[in-house]
Amino acid sequence: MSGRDAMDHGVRLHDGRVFTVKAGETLLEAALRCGLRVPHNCRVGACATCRCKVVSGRARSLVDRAYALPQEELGNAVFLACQTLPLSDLVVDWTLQPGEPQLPPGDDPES
Amino acid sequence: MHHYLKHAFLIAVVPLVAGLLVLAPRWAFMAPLFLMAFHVALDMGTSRDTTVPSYRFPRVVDAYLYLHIAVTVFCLAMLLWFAAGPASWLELLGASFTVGFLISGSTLVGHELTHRVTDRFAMLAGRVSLALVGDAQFSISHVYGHHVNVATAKDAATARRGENLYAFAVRSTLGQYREAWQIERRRLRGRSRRARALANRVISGLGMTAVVLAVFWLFAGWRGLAAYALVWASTKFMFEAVNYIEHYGLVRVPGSPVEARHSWDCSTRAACNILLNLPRHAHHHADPSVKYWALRPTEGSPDLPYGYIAHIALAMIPPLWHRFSAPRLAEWDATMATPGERELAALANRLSGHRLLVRAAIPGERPSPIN
Repeated sequence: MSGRDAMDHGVRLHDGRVFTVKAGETLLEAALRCGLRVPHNCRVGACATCRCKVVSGRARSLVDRAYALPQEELGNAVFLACQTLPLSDLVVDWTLQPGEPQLPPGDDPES
Repeated sequence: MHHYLKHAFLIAVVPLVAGLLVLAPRWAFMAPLFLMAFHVALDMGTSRDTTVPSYRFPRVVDAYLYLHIAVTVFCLAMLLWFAAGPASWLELLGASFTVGFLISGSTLVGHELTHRVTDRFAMLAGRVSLALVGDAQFSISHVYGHHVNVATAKDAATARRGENLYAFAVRSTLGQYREAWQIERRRLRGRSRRARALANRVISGLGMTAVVLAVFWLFAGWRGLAAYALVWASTKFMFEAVNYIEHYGLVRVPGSPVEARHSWDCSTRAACNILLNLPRHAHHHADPSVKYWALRPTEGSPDLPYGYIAHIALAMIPPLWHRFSAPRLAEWDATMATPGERELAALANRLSGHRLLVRAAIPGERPSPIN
């Protein structure tokens, strides 16, 4: 698909596990294909369950991350794995606590 | 060949009926009834369609989506021409209502296209498709609200136990706008006031609809505005009726994974073929990036046995709907729900205020699950 990287990239996780992201695959798709148990849920880039930090390497988000992540994380290399394509080999910290979904904000708690 | 044609019903039949109805406006009200009867007959009279054909040329079935936008514009143009002409107000009423019914598929198409968040052209086309029927906000509230919060009290588009279709349609409509607005505000926080207003997709969506309204006003004045308002109301009602049956009464512990049991699935032929596999809803929630023609029926999801239109017709008569759904929810609670969900379900039953459901919340008084 246009704009997608045509190369495979290697990813090393915080705990040393390694997997390959094929061209056009998202981080989450690749991790699941390789049988890794990683936090995820909605798969549309909204619930922030799959958020992870790119410690080294370059990645591209397919969607506007501001939909799901707080401001300070945007500048801090935090990505949503289900919407992220690697642009180089990556080192990823996938231990972030799956925080409360950011959306919709500040309204009624469950009753 | 058949596989290519099975999703072509809307783009083939809708413009035909729209053409006929401006020629014979007296019969306009009959068109939705006839089409619904046809749909139900096909659902009930033929075997279920559980096939997932692989397409050699997926571009063909993909093109239906874009063609549908042209069909919608054609129908609106026919109505505008009709409104600007000498038709009586009653005829205009019938034609507008029916055109709204006919082009309610725009919401299906808009839904499919606005899930392709990484494809700019599809996103734009999807938002146009939604804006033509006055609902571009759906591209925001659905993806970033509904998909996260489905089957919880936070989600405007999940129907609660005991809630009737009409109350739901109003609450869901207003709630989705509220969600979409909050989501856009949150996304754009930190930008300047001017940038926020320009980039806000709720505002730009309303702007697109305003263009349609302006055209109707320009060519047909008040009659045009009234006609478009009716189109909006009738499309919106059909759309909210679909939202209503997709997740009615299902509950989920907030934050827990969205599973097959959180959507009502439906495999009847007309529903799946005509409505672009939207009834294969559990799979859609499991992987929203799957294109409509590749959606599968899902094992382990609760089933709508009679098809979408039949269930919508049931929902339009709330006492019938509750009699149908209460035992099925009891079955869901007993066989599919987790312990946490069972607690939420019991609470929802008590809060529903409906005698069939309240009774189910009392141990030993559960209506017998369907066999």
